[in-house]
Amino acid sequence: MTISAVLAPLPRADGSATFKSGLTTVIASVSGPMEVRAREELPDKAFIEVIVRPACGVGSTRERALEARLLSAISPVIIRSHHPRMCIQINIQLVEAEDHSDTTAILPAVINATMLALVDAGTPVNGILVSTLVETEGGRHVLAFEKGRCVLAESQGEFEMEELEQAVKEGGRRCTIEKDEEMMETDEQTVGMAIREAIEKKVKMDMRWRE
Amino acid sequence: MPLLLPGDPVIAPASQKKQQLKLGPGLTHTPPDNIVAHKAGELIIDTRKNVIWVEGNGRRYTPTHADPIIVTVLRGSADAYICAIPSSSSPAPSSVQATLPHLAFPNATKKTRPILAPGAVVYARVSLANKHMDPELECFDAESGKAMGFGELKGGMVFSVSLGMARRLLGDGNRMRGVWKREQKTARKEREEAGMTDAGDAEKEEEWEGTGAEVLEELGRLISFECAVGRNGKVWVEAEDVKSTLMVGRCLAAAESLGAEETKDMVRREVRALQG
Repeated sequence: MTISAVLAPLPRADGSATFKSGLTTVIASVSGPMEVRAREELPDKAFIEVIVRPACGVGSTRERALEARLLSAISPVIIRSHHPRMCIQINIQLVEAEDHSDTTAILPAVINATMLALVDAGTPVNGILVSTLVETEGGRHVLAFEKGRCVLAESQGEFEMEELEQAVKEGGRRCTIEKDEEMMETDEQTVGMAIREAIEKKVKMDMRWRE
Repeated sequence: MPLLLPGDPVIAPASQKKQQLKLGPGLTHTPPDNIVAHKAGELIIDTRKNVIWVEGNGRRYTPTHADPIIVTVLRGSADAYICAIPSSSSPAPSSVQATLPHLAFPNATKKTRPILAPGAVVYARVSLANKHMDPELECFDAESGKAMGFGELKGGMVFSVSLGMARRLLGDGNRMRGVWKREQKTARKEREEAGMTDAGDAEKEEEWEGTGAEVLEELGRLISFECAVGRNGKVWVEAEDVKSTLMVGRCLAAAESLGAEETKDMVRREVRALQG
């Protein structure tokens, strides 16, 4: 499965990212911190608004479900107290997917694209959340890791506890963003490495004026 | 300079003098002594001033005390102008509102106050910035009471650049290079004192040639124009004619991701094309 990530594909957004994983392509953009609508203003922290748009047609329950899951995954990572009474708006545009009704397969790409867009925007975050889909014999698991800890697990299907444990182990390996000697030897491209490379490339581009 | 990703821990440099360590943008301190980066960028360490910060780039501006910025007047009220701080070119509404008191101008009294029409572009300095309050602006230097270049910007055009670019145009790139050179020098001295060979290390040293402000230097050498750079990523330019003004704007946009030499070449090309 080929994974590719690009930061700042949208020149007018504060932060944006494209994330491709296999047949799934997602574009995320982040605006903010900006003014918030009065009824959504929180006195001590930033309000986070998530909008998911499908590849075709108008959004429905499926997109709302994705929004809710993305919000619960991403909001603990953002340091919201840095921008009280402000709004951080996250826009997700699904571009391509193998099966558009399969939100479990789309969710990891959505989380990764959002995380990269947040980094591009310079939004204060606690760490980098990396997500992947692990398939086991009886189930499919969306797992997200931050600093090596599993912080999100959304599973589907019938499976044993050991299967989940194994999935978490496999997911942790794929999601690590730390450079590892062992990993360098194998040619396998992991999600974590793709994300690290994309961010490194962006910072390098930002510092090109030094040359 | 080391690359930092959000969540990476930072080890505070040991300072010889008993100076308090200052953390700049991009770093969060959790007591007792954990320092963690909260955005991606390069870590800049200034051991002389004992300051560390993360240098990155962004597009959305958050008002910070003493920053010179370019604002537009929205409306007047009894004792202040309400201004919008434009930042980034994103279509989402960006305006953070700030107040510019009538008395915050040089030689202003209750009877004589500057007249600014809605829509006027003003170069001002942030006099109060706090995440819980709306920012306040001033158009004079508090120490000398003079304008110091602040005030209404008549004519000309305003161009958008990234926040990092705006900072570089104001000379931050040059200052950072100075800090870096000094750090390199002390590191080299330490290595020599330790008796290590220098040959391998010299090759390893990175190059830091540019200051990031070459575009203005080169343009200033070739044509005449006035400009004011706001830290909110706005640059006001006025040249002899509209054509030259637009050319300066084009150069600023193009210089965003170019190295020093490339920038100079690009500027020379543009000026030649303009002068025909």
